[in-house]
Amino acid sequence: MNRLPSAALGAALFGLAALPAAAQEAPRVPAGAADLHVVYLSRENDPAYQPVRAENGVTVPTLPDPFPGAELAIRDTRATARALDLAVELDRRVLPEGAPVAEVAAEIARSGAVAVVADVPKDDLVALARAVPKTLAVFDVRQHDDDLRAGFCDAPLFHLLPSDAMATDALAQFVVGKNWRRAFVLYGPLPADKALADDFAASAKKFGAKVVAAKQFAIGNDPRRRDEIDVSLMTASDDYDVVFLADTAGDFGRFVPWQLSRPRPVIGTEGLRAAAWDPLAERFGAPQVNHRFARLAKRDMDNGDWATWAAVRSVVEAAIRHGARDAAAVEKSLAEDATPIDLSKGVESSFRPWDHQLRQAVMLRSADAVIAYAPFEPFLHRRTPLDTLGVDLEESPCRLK
Amino acid sequence: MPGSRPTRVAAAILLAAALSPAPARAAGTGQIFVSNERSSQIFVLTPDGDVASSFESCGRPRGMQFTPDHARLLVACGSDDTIAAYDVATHKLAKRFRDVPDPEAFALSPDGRNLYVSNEDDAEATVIDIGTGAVVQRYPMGDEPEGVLATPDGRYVFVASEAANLVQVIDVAAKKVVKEIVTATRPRRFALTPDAKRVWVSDEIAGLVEIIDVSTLAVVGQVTFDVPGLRHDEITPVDMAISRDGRTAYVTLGRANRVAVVDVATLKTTDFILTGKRPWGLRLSRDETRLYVANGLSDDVAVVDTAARKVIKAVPVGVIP
Repeated sequence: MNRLPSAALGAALFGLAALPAAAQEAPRVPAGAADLHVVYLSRENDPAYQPVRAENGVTVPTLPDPFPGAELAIRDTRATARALDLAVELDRRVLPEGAPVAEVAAEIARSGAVAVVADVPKDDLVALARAVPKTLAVFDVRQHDDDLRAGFCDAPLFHLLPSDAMATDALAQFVVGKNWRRAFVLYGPLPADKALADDFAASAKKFGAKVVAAKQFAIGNDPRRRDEIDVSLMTASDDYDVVFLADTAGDFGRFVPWQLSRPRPVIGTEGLRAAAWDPLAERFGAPQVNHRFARLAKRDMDNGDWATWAAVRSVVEAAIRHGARDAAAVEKSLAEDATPIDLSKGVESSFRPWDHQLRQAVMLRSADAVIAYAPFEPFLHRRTPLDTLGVDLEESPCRLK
Repeated sequence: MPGSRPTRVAAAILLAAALSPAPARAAGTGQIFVSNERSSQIFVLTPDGDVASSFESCGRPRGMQFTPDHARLLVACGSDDTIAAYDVATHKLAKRFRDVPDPEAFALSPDGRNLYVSNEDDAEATVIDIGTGAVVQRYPMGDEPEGVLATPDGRYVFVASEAANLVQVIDVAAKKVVKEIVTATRPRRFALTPDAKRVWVSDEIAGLVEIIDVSTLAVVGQVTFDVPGLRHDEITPVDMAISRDGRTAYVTLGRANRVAVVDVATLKTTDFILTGKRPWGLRLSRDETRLYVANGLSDDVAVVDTAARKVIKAVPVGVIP
């Protein structure tokens, strides 16, 4: 299944971390009409999957390599593909540390691959999206930054995970539905923390909640800075119904629910969190997917695994529903919103034609349960309720082609 | 809307009188058996929709069917990995077929000898000899197989794999899959027209029903459901029942909280009946004046007057019928 890249693609160009040299000499199998190759690209020693050391000595679990999600998608679609005389295979390629991604893009395009699952750092993703031909779909299976959705309107870049704007919209819908309309926003020292807090403020405005105060939290012990350090002191002012916490590093946030001066629920990066997927999801066929994944990978399926799974399923769906047999046809079918995909979240997903964001239900999860699926019923949209989440066509710099 | 449907549960409802053409003592009672996935109970209702009794069942009872003589009720026990046979008269456990991984639905061969079971987790259909309890055959299926239908001539068994969007047709005599039909999204269950010429398959997420011609094994038509005021993604058809005269079909629409009435000849929807929250399983009474609809999210069974096309009663049953 994990077909090795062809010798023609050049071990010299890519290198192949952790693969035996002999394997690199394997003869190339031409991509025939019924033989689709999806490239799974990752980066050697990717910082995202390195062990994380927390500041205070508490170890944060290392993010697992999401490749098994892509493998599961191949297995899941095999019976249907076979019924149509179609074989879908993954070509796993690992970029050596420091090797420029742009040089690889053209090689991948020439190889006849129908799409690229790009499990790479953000700067690699950006370089890849700019370098590939416009007819070769690149799947972003990791990033949730809003700027990637806004800045690549003309690139064939498809985003699987909910954007930050979708995540905060989902949470804002939830709190408004509960009538917890007064939100206190607490954000950390990183630019990403501030960006997430701003996203929530926009979401609150969109759905009718109110940010009563937004304060930046600093890490330290200096008593002269206690108004930036002491959560109890910071949260003792005006009353609020809920605290939105933006601590993207997962650093101080763990303690915040127990440091508030008022007993209020916490949402955001702690407490109730927005996610694409959860191993404890109970509805819409998710337990079956989770079970199959656990049998394959011997661990729980999380967001990243779901994203690679959904990316490969999208390609196969384009091939099944629209007879797409080459990169251009796959890209066109996905970009034109023509392929509804069942991703075990209860409603059909598809890519928004303006910014190629996957429209999807967003799970709101606690530490040990999926509490709810956004969007929520009172919020309507003329196209689909899913488009109440995230950046709509009118708000996006991207336009329909 | 997301959120209006819990765990992928198979609401099952069974009517003693309606399911078997063979007249048997138990069949004469007209009782309705309703399985409840979450509370692991089977409720027995009278034809008028009163709760006659209930009994504790195996874990997570899902699909149910009577044996042709109506003496026994076969139940797929999702969390026990068994198919249990209950005595219809006494509600006592009579027999158990073990080691059937995560059974969801099944069909009995017309001669009553073999059970065709969909094993959701293993992407397999297993064939069990009812006499010996032995697994006599296994067929690899697409992922998450659910609906199973055996044609009354004993020739074919249809299996729907919901995650694979695939209907596979087993030729019983040849013991092999002879046809694979790619369907719209999430095929769930089957119904057969009384003349046995057409198989209906519900595509839950796509929100439609596809019609398969049994002689050619090709899709020859579809039924769509345009419920006024509802969006496409709120229409999730699951179970179906077709009247004996072959004219009228009833389709539960899940999230739409309605049952659709379909004119079989034209494949047009003629009416929608509001029944309760997330109706899935349904059966007609023997005289077809009543339709019993299990509402998974309101824990009740709606009794519908088919002439008036109105709910005349809602009977509370267990948890997630």
